[in-house]
Amino acid sequence: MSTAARTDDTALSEAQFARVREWVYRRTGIQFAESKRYFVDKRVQSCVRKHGGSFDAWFAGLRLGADPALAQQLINELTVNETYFLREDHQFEGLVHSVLPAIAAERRATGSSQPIRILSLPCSTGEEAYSIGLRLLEDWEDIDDFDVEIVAGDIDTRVLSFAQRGEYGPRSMQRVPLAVRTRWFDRVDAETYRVKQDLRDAMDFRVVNVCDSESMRAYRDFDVIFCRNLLIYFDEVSSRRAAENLFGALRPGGHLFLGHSESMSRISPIFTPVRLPEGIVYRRPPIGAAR
Amino acid sequence: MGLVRRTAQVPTGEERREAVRDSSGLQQQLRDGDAEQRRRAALDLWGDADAVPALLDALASEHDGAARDAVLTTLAGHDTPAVGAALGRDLSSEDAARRNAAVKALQAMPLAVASLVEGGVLQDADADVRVLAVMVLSAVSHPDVPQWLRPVVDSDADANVVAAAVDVAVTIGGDIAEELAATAAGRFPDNPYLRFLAARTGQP
Repeated sequence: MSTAARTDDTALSEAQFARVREWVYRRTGIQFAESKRYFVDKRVQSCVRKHGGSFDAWFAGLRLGADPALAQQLINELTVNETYFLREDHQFEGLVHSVLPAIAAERRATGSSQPIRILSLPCSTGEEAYSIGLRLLEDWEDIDDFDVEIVAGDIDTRVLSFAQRGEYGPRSMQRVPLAVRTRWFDRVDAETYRVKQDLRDAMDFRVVNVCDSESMRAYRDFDVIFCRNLLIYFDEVSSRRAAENLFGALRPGGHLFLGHSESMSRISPIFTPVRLPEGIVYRRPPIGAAR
Repeated sequence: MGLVRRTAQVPTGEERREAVRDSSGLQQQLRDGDAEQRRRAALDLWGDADAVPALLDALASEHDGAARDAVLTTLAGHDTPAVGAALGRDLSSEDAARRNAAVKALQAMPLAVASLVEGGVLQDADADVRVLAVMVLSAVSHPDVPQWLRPVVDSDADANVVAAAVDVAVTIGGDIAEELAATAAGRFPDNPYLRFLAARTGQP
């Protein structure tokens, strides 16, 4: 007898939900809490309907890899592929209030004058990289005491051109406070803002493929990397490879921010998870740290 | 001070690495005294089938965790019986980190796992190896996983191995989960966990 869905045709049984949740975690690192149940149920049922059979037939195809398209379809349904300024801002809070102060203290303690290096991957149309710059300029009190380099990379040259142009509409700008708009953006027209030239000029946008070790070789000695909501799209081997390349791009002791619901634990054991007041960040172990 | 842009910066250590970028140089670098150099050499050997024997040698001798994970990552790109056999040997390692790393790598290698199963890993004399082999099946994508699980549940003498196999069947769900859970509970009627699994999978 197959596991039956509940009478509500958008709801999964407890067992079905548990199986989907486990698969999604193993495959993408995304962890869905019970509070996301309705969201997951609706999207899973959409996939089952498109597949045309029962839940069990659909799930067996997904779990056993019979049809790789099923996996991609579910991931697409469960992820929100959008970017805007200050998205998941609590992570920028973690950067400004926890990570950067620790880096600054270490630099001061060792007398190092090396710049603080931050990498944003994939930067897409640039909102994340500019958001990092904005939060540093607006909220990090030590910004005048250190040189900070922000490098942003993406595999898609079209989005890099967009990022370099730095013009954004209302959807991208929805979270930007008025005072910040006034200080760091020029108004282009009724709906469009452009990042001021000083900030645009400070950003280094480059083509990069995080899965390609050759391409990633030039990316070294970063103190912080943001790589949010990317690894979820990769298969197991590619995500392992990307994790290794991110590890290599960090200095020993450097910090990696993933998307807030992503986990490195299912991909690779090479990073050490660190709990900040603002959430989890993954750290490349400092030299000499035991693993 | 503040935000700066230095696009011309040359990464530290790049010159040294450029000198050894050919396959034989990289294979030699797998034995470098510096673990970071070994880690980078392993990653740079991605896609190089000729380097697989050297990577397998490195896997056997590598004691640095990060370097070993890099070797495993590159080996995982070679989903072949030879690599599967080498990783299968690590399932019986005394080193827990090495065992777990092998499980994780194999979970991404369906062809290697199929070869291991055909080679009898699920009938290994050591029950701990059989449990780890079943753990590999918990995440590997291969259409034969249900039929690999069935003989384990039907005939393995160790209740822990059988329970691990039922756990995997539960992640697949459907008829196979109910069938194997019921079989396991029937074979080990005094095992409360197997009774629990049978009761649970029998519920809608």
